[in-house]
Order: sequence, then C-alpha cells, then structure tokens
Amino acid sequence: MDKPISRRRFLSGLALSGGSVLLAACGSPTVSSPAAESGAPAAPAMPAASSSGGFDWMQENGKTISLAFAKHPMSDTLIQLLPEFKSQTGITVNYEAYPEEEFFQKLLVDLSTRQGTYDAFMCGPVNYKQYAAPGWIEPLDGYLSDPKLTASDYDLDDFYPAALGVNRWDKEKGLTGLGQGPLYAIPVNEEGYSLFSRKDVLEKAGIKPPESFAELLEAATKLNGFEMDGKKLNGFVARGNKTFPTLTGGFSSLFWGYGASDLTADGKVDITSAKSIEAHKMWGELMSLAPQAVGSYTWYEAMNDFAAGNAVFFIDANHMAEFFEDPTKSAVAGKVNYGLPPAGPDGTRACGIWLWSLGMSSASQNKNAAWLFLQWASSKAVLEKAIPLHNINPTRQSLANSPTMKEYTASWGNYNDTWQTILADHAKWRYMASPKFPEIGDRWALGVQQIILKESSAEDALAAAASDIEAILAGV
Amino acid sequence: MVTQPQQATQVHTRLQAAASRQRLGEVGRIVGLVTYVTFALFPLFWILLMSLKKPIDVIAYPPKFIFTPTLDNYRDALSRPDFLLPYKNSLIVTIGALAVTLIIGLPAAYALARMDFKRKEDIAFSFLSLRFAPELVIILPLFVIYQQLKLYNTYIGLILVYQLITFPLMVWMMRSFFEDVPREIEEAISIDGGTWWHSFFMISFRIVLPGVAASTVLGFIYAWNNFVFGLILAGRDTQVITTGLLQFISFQEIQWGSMAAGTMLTIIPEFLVAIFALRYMIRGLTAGVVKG
Repeated sequence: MDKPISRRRFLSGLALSGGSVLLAACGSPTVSSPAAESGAPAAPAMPAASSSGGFDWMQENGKTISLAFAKHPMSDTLIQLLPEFKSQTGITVNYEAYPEEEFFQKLLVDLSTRQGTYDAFMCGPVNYKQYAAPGWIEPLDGYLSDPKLTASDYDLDDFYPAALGVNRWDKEKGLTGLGQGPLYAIPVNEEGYSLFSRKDVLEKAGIKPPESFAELLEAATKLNGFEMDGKKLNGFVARGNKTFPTLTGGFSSLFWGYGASDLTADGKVDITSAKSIEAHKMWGELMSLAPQAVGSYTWYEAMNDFAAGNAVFFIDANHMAEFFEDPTKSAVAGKVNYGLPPAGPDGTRACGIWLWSLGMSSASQNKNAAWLFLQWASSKAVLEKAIPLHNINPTRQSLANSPTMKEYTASWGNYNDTWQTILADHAKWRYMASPKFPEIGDRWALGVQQIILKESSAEDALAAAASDIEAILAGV
Repeated sequence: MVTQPQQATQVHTRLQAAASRQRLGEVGRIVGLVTYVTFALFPLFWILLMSLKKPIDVIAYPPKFIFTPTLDNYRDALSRPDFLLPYKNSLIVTIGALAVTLIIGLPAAYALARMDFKRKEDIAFSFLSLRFAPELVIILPLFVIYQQLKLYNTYIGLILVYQLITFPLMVWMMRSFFEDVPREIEEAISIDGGTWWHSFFMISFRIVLPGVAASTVLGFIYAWNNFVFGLILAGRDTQVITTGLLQFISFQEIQWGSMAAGTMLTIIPEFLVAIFALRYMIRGLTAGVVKG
C-alpha cells in the first residue's frame, strides 16, 4: 500500500510544483530586438550616420518603437534591414508579423482601443481609410514639411504621383475625396495589373498578344483547350471569389476600361449602367474559359494555376513575375509576355492599383521615432536595397530605371518596361473612397461571382448588388 | 402436439437465431465504430501523411497515399525559432495556467460541494459565467486592461487569462466529483478528530483523483488549443503555438509539409498529458475499493 501523504508533505509538494512553474513563468520575457537577434552590431551613436545634409538621424537615439507587419515580401525586406536602422538612428525596433487576416485583426484591436501598442504599421489603400475616418492614423504632412524631422534629400516628389494619390484622402469629402487632403501613409510597395500571356502558346498558334478585351476574348476562346506539352490549357484565368480583392485586381482594368463607374457624379451607385452591364458580361464570358473552380479562386490560386502552366491568359498583379520567372516554382519561366491591361471598346486602357504603405498610429507615444522609421524605410537608399530582397515594385520613379531594378528583372522578359508604363499612365485607385469599401466590395464581388457561375443574369445580379450597396452606404 | 425432441430442436434453433442476431448486432456495432473512428481520425491521419511528404507530393492531384516518406518537414519545423519559441511559451503558459487552476480551483470546488455558506449558488454560477461570454466579446476590454496593467505580452498575463478557460471547467467538474464522495467517510474522519483539511487532502482528494485527471486533461486541451487570447494578448516574445503555426504561412506560399509536421509536434503534449492522466483515471477507479 502507498504511504498516505501527510498534509504537510502534500501542501509543500503542491506549493513546490506549482510555485516553481509560476516562478519560471513570472520571469518577464526578455524583449528581443532584431539587431540583437541577427547579431548585427547594435552600434551606438555614429556621427557619420547623419550624412544627409546635416539631418540628425540620431535625434531619437535610445527610443524603442513597435511595428506591426503583415507577412509580405515588403515586411520581410524591412525586417532584414532593421539592424541598419538601429545603427543609423539608435532606435530599437520590436516588431510582430502575422498573416494578413490575423494581422488586420490584431492591428484593429490596438488602433480601436487607442493603446498605441504599435507605433507604425503596414496598411493598404482600403484599410487606411478605415483608420483615418475615426482619426486612428496620423496625417504625415506636418512631419514631411518639418526640416528638423525630414531630411532635405528625402524627395517626396520622387514617388509616383499615382501612388501618393492613393494615400491622400479628404475624409470630409468622403467618397469623392481621394487624392486630396492629408497624406496618411507612405507607399513602399506597388502592384499594377498586367495581362500575362503565354508567349510559347501564342507563337505556336500564330496569334498576336491581344491589345483589347475584344481581342482577348477572341484569342482566349480560340486557345481554350489548346494542347501544349501534353496539357490541355484553359483560355483564361483570374480571381473569381466573392471578396473585394476580386474587384481590385484584373477586373478593375475591364470595368474602368469600359468607361463604367461605381458612382454617378452625384454620388449614387452606378453599377447597373449599360456600360457596367456590358463589362460584367464580358467578364462572365472570359471567366467561362477559366477552370471550373474559378469562382473560389483568390489571387493565390489563380497565380498557382497560371504558374503551373494551365492557362494561356491571366490578368493580375504584375509583380507575380517574380514567381513566374523562378523555374523552381513555376513551369512558365521565360514563357510569359507582360502586357498592358487590354483596352476597352473605345480604346481606353485603365488599371487598378494596390499599395502596401507604412502608416503611423495617432496613439503612438513615440511619433517622431516612428516617423524616422517611415522616412528611413521609404528613403531612396533603403528602397533600392529592398529591390533584390524582393520588394517589387518600388514606389519611387528614380528607382524604376535604376541599374538595380534593371539587373534584378533582367531575365523577366519585357517586365521592367511594362510595369512602369502601367504605373505611370494607367494605374489609379478608381473605386469610391469609402472606409466601408471592404463590405461594399464584398457585396459587389458576390454579384460578379453569380454572373461567373451563371446563377443570375448580369442585370439581375447587379441590380441586387446595387440596392444592397446603397443600403450599406446609407447605413450607420 | 409437439413431441419433446421437436421442442428441444425448436428451442435450440431459437437460441441459435438469437445468438446469431446478437453476433450480427456485434458485427454491426464494430463496423459502425470502425467507420466512425476512421471518419473522425482521417483528418489527423492525412496531416500525418502530409507531414511526411515532399512539397510536390503534398499538392499532387489526385492525392497520393503511396510516396517516399521524408523527415525534412520535421527537421525544418524543429530548426525554426519562430516555431520553437511559441512551443515553449505554450508549455509554460498552459502548465502555469493549470497549476494556478489546481491550487485555487480544487479547494473552491470542494467548498462548493461540501460547505454551506451564503450565496453559494450565485458564486458557483458566476464561475460558470466566465465560460458564457464569447472570447471575442471580452477581448477588447481585456486588451485595454492588459495594456494598462502591463500584462500584455507577459506569461503572467496569459496564465491569468487562461483561467477563463481552465478555472470554471475545473470547479464545475470537480464539484460534482466531490459531491459523489460519500459524506460518511468525512464524518468518520471528523469523529476521529480530523479537520476538514484532513478529509479534503487525505480522503476526498484521493478518491476524486480520476476526476482531477480528467479535468486536467480537458483544461490542458482547451487552453493549449486556444487561439484568440494568444493572438490578441501575446506579443512576439510570448506568442503561443496556435498563432505560432501561422508562421508557416508566408505571402506567396503555404509550407503545407512543415505546417503539418508542426501540427503533429503540437499534438504531442496533449497526447502525453492524456496518456499520463489515463493512468490515474484507471487507478482511481479501483482506488479505495479494497481496504489495505
């Protein structure tokens, strides 16, 4: 028989085991800085750092800031370069990086409770408006115009105007206030939408890369089921699932290229116009040449489908080139033509834009230090270093034709010319500037999906979507 | 009229029929159970297979059941600090949370089961109510409180918030276990001059050990699997395993193989705790049946 445990022994045992766990647990976790982790010298004040026209990069020396990142080549790049920031400014950086969905949840919790856990964060063209409306994100113009806070060689005008325009918003004007008012975030990574086509297939079939949507439909129909290397190809592929990024991708080139608009001049929902219906019908026809499951495709599935060599045409983010041209991941390396977005019936080319930018929390306790980070991360020098670390495309005009960019994209066919033309001439955020755009876009994309899946005619699907969107806009 | 031998034969056939019916029932039950177990365990089995596959086999269509296994995924998972640190953190936080729950929850459950005091049921109910509120409803105020008290991104903070999961579970399960212990045993102790501490620690506690084991296992599993608290209240230093597994998702690529390996490794502690507790559950069943 086991010896009965005496009360004291039991208690002491319990206390010991419990206590030791607690003690182990109480040790406050050491705060790790990336500089310490990567073993880079956490160099103290270096006078040489303040090289840019007497600008004092060390003015916030000793401060600590926290950043929130979504997992993305842009954040990966900046994380790798953080030790340089530490040695240039003396500012310690803590960061957290999560997949996009979790990242936005966490960021929203912090911003909405005004805790200032994160001093600076990544954001997109839709999200920053959500944060700007209640004043959670700090307008940056004051920092940019203060010579004490911004180096004289920063050169804001070097950014593509289209990119800066996306991040300016006059919230009083609301839906029509885009491109005006304060600058809320600095663009660091840009994507435009290119028509990818398979050079090898077009050559074999003797077809020229299409320049308009009508030509695209004709070519894609002809090539649907075309056999190449023992594979039967689909004519077309694109995002098709029922969330708003479906609209902001290749679909935007079609919708706006057809001269349609989401709003009338007086701010009413206008997606039931004749031009809009025509554009949606064209999309339905193109998507009928895509794989059967396309109604569930996000950019990710669509990209993998094209990279696996299953489709002839694909419209999506141009920087996917990096994935396509990597022979270890893709079956189409060296076989892709990067085209401009096809033109609408009257020859107009249009294109959407997506940016990953850096913004600052208005609840931050270290705004100047956070600004130094934003400024550093979007400076010419850092953005140039970021190119070979996969931060494609850069947002500064001076870098587009830099030797670094040319060299990095040398093996990507006509990529480097195409993306610049798209960004300089066609790319623009055209959808209504509403902080509710995710909700609105989701509803609209549901209509688009119904058209693709032939569940509903374009007229009916859009009429239903339009009335729901009116309700969302009118709602509290 | 039926003769005796005929009767005997009839009875015999009837018995035989009954027996075969029984056997059929048995077979049916086994088939049913096997089907259910296969259905329930298949996802786990599939993840196990995935963890042993090369990337190309993971995405192969039609799915492959026969392939050359590799341990690369496990090697990858085990060499990643962004997997190992959350793993360690989860162990610290979950075990810490259970320790706190055992120390406070067991006496609380005993008191609720055995003692009479004012508003007893209200108190018991308010413990239970900790389980009512969906995590997402309370997470915002909790986040603010944690920021103010500097509990954000600390082990203590997570151990405290995990009490919302483990404490009510422990108290309510153990309360009913304590209630099942015959009062006579405790009365015998008090007749012998023992205090309620004696009866709690020396008798009741040992009799309810299987219950403790069961509620510890459940508490461990619920706490270990929790996602929301870890996502919102932990920072990079205290990140727990449920959000740690997300690190296998990168922008253009989901590392299915490594993620599956990470998932299998993540199941191990739960598995061990369950096996360990099972011993107590079985021992507990027979403990105290025979004197001596």
